Amino acid sequence: MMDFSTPPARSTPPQNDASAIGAHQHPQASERIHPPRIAKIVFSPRTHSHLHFKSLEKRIHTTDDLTYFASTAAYARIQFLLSFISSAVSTIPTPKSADDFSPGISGILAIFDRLDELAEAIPPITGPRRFGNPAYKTWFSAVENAVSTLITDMLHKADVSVEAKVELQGYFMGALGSFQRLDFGTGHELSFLAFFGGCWFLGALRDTSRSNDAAELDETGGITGKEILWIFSRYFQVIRKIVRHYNLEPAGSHGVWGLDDHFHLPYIIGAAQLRGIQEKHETVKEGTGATDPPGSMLPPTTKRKESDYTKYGMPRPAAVMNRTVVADQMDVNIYFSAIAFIYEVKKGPFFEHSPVLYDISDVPSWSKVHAGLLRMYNAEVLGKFPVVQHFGFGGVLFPWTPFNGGGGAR
Amino acid sequence: MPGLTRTIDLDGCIERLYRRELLAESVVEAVCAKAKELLINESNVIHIKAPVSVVGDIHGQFFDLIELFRVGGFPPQTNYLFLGDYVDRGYFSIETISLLTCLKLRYPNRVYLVRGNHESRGISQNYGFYSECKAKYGNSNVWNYFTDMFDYLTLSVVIDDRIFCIHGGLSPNVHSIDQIKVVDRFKEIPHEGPMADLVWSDPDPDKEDFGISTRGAGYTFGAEIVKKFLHVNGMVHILRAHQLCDQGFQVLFDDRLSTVWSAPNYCYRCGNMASVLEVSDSGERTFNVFDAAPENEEYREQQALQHNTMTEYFL
Repeated sequence: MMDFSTPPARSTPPQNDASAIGAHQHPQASERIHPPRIAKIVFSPRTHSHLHFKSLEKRIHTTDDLTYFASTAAYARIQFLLSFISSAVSTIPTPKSADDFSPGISGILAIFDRLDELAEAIPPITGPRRFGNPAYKTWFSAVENAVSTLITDMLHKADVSVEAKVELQGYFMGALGSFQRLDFGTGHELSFLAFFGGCWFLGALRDTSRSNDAAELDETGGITGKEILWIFSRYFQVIRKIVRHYNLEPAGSHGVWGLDDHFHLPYIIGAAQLRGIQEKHETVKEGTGATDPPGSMLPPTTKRKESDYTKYGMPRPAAVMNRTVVADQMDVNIYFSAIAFIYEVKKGPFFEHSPVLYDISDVPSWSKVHAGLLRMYNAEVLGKFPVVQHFGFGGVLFPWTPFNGGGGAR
Repeated sequence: MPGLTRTIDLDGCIERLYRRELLAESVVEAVCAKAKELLINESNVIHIKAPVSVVGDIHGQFFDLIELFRVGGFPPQTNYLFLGDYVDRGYFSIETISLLTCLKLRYPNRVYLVRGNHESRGISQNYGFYSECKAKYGNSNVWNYFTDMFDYLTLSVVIDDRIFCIHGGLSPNVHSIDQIKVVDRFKEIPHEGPMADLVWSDPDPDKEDFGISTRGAGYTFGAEIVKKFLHVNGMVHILRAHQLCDQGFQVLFDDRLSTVWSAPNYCYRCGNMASVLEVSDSGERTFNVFDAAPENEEYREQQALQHNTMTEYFL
């Protein structure tokens, strides 16, 4: 049985898909990959001339390929990215502007601006159609024409070899939805994670002028949480706009039984933003015996970890049910920006159209929410054939080679 | 097996289900067993007579199914042909498929159920029906009963020897309708071959021939394929579901093929209309378009209280 949508016949489905995937998860808790090794040894701008970039190729053809996928360097790097991003954004609110960002990052932002401009220039067309607006195809082709130059510019600005473009461009175009199907889903979002990760691995996002301290560069991989948040929130902004503008279908949505019709990453990143503050806060709070009604904004009655976030208050997971809090938080937190989009597009009671998010609102802490979302991502996105069948593997950034426990392809 | 011989109070079940009350697990078991006994005798190609109202994807949107009955008439006053995709994505797949199965048992010659690509273990395990069964019954028994029953659903219906009806579309392996009759359909939907294509394929208005489908199963098929199929089989029209339509329906290839879609405001957000297609005894086709059902807030609030958490990832 190799039906893409049909797991090997069994009368009782597994209780938890995560366990099957978890068996192959890298890195194991005790040996996490250190960002410096990947950033410095493998992808340093000065040493990657010997690397062989190549056009992305689909390698996941049947459900059986998922097992090998979970053992590849590509998979390990995706895991690494998720954990790196989560640590980097902890306690940091989404910034309000992109001031002082590195040349590589301004290069990425220039691409997003161009996507916006093209969407303005290419309005949806009127006339008969099944669902998605055919003008999306015009927009997609226009982006395809423009993006090559834009990625080249970004790589030049960041002083990175333009050879990497073949892989980066594949991931970028894969992140904009399906040209043929006029839909958008978590597979496309995964492709953006790969684009971001690729740029970062290559050193294209690092600001060499910012610090001369090599150790500090290595610790942060040359990028700050603020910058990561800005890049991702710009991406989500653009995609939400495109989804609405051209009426893209939810790709392979699980309907009310999934997390969200289109997205998963904003929830992980947003929960990670809040996780650090709450952990600190909760520790202190336990001692005070204070209780707060769910859904309320916590008054700063106890000592919190010092962070920029403090001035925006700290919503609890239950606050997603409170539209006022959602409106207040959407610009400073990516989880709440995703919830705000749901309120914008969905009709009906929240618990009915979004029961999974509703259940998560009952989880007591952001660190539990975050950990659960990661487990769910591994099972429902990385572990699902219909989603990852479209993921492309190249020669350098996300290779279809066994993970060897180190930085990967050397 | 006690369930097999037991008599079922079908009218009582239907009444309950119209009130959106779930049937007991043992009753679902008996209903599914009875349904299998009935469906096993249906051909892979059932010939029926108009008038009949044809329904597309419902995907557990129970409120909207009731709205559809209000628009098109309740069975058995109106004859119905359902083109599959009863379950997954929506909040009320169990209520929907329970009601349709009971209606089929109660009025076997006035209600016909065709198999859609979601009436399979592989798909419904991943796209909501399985989660819903676990959430509402606390175990997966009901999912097992229904998915075993799905294996018996027919693949196609012909109305008045003129209109060929399937869930998805045509197959490069099926030139003549007679070829469908010999398919062994009593199994999980395979990943390729005629049975897979009938429930997975989509028309492509920009093409003439068959093409690769981006769905990863089935094919796309163009104008020339449709013409040839109709000619070879002496039919005038192909009627199918399977694709979201903004207006609730879409007519292609010089009126040789229609898509009917019956889930309004799909996934609570698509803003689309739905339709039910009436085929009159003179062969006329009329789409009755309808919008999402008015909300019943009171009931929905109760539902919130009963809500059963299923976030295993977050424990």
